[in-house]
Amino acid sequence: MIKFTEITKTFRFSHGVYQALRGVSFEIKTGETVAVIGPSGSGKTTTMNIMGLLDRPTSGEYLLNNQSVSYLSFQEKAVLRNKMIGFVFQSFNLLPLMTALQNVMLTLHYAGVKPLLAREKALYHLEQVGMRDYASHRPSELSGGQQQRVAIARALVNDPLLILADEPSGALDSHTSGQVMEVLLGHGGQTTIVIITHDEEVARMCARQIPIRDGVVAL
Amino acid sequence: MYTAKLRSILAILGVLVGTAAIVALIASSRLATNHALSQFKTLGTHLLALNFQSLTAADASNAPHSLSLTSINQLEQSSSQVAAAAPYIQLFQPMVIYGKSFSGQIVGTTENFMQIAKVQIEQGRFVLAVDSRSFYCVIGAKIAEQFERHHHHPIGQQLQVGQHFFTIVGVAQRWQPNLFLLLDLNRAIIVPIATTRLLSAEANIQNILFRLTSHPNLPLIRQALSEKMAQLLPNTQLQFRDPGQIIHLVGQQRQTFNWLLIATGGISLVVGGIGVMNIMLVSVVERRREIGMRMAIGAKRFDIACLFLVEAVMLTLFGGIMGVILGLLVTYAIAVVTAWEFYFYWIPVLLGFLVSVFVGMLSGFYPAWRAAQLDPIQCLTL
Repeated sequence: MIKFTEITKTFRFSHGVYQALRGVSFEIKTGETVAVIGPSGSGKTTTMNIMGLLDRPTSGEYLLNNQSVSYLSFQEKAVLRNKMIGFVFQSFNLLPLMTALQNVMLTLHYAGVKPLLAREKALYHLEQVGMRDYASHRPSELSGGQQQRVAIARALVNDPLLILADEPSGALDSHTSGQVMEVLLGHGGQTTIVIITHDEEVARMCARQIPIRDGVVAL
Repeated sequence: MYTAKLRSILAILGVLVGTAAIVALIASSRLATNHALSQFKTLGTHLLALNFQSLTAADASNAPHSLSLTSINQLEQSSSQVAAAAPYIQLFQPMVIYGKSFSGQIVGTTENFMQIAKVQIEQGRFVLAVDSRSFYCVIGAKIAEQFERHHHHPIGQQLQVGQHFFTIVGVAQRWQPNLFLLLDLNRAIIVPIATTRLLSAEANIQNILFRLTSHPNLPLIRQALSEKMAQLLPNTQLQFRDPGQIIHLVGQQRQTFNWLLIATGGISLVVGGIGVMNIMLVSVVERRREIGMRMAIGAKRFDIACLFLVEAVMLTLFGGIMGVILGLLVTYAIAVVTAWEFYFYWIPVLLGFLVSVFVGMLSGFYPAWRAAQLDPIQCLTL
């Protein structure tokens, strides 16, 4: 499903060079739930950005679904992100002026799905995360845990192969965090789930952990 | 949120004023043209006016220095395209109606005048050739009101001019003033032309009105009339006037006003456009997280650009709608103040909308492009 081979990433600044990744290699199978762990500055966010096709590696090869995607254009990556990857952010990133339903439908809008069908699918996924009754609520009317569940529905709505969650429970208390993780991992099935976290409790809920330290996989 | 709204409203103020100016400009200049043309709706455009000034001093030589009525007939026949001619003399002498003075004018003329100047008689009759040198008059609508105020039927009543008393034989209907015939017939009494000589020794014919046949050849007629005038009254300065010139003149007068409005509208639109561009740039910065999120879930650069372009156009279109409404109100106010007839025209309204959309596209383009070029990672890690 995901294969990183000697991925490096170098950032160039006016005052020097910073090597965030120094050759990261790992493999994640379809349907696996994996936690990428490591302290801040270890390179786990860069790993996620590359995995999520938001950034391109300086060198190395990234195979997503057996397809080399390291050096695609912005446009091609946008299409792949929309079809294959669902993002869950630490700060939810819901649009404040839209209802929960409209937020979930946004993914399908960019996928070119007709509004009526998109509505059906979005309502189904809101149901899956237990938020159907809140479909017409705005984010400001929802708690943090509820907002994150809407965000998870938004990530799942286009049936992605991969869910990428960056500190999904980072902004939540431990109780809510557990609930949200259950919703996220409870989805199961064929969807591969990769969670970036430094919360050990969250990491333990995943089947496997990939620790990253100083830009390399530290096993 | 509130400050964002306030900012948007301030930004579109320029677009509003600009659109309003353009709508008001086009709509009111159409009204003006319409007004100029409407003056000739009843009067017709097959007219020619001649004003002349004898350069020979009255007592300097034996040469004639005024025209007689028979000369008018000769002038009338000098061109086959002249259908009728009516000389007229204007005098300004105080009138007294029921012991109260009334400032009006005395127009001495012939029977033809009624038909050429389209004077409609409401009661009684017009002054005829047989009235020559008698003190009969036809009164304008405003003077008739003076009589009606005293509950008198004007026909047969008298009014005083100087030491003379005129008997009213007719009342004219309200007459549409126009820029071609510079007379105020509503405040005038019309008397036989010969009678004016009895009122003033200096009452000489200096104006002649011609009605022309349809499709007149104006230069040809002018030449024929000029030649005849040279025979009849040598050493005379002639000045012709026709409705076409008046319409043209009205257009020219509007021109200055138009340029002023175009400048105001243009400057406002530029300022408004810059204002909209400014708040869109701010908006792009403020909504970087949203842009990053949208890109993450699959928005292409084009989608992001559209988002901001549409928003800019919505802003200016909103300003445009308000501007069109304001522009129409201003046009209506102009129509009321100038007593022009108000008509609703679609063209300026459509143009107002188009201009505001165009300004939105122009000012939204750069912010939209900036937004589309953003890096999703940088947007998301803010």
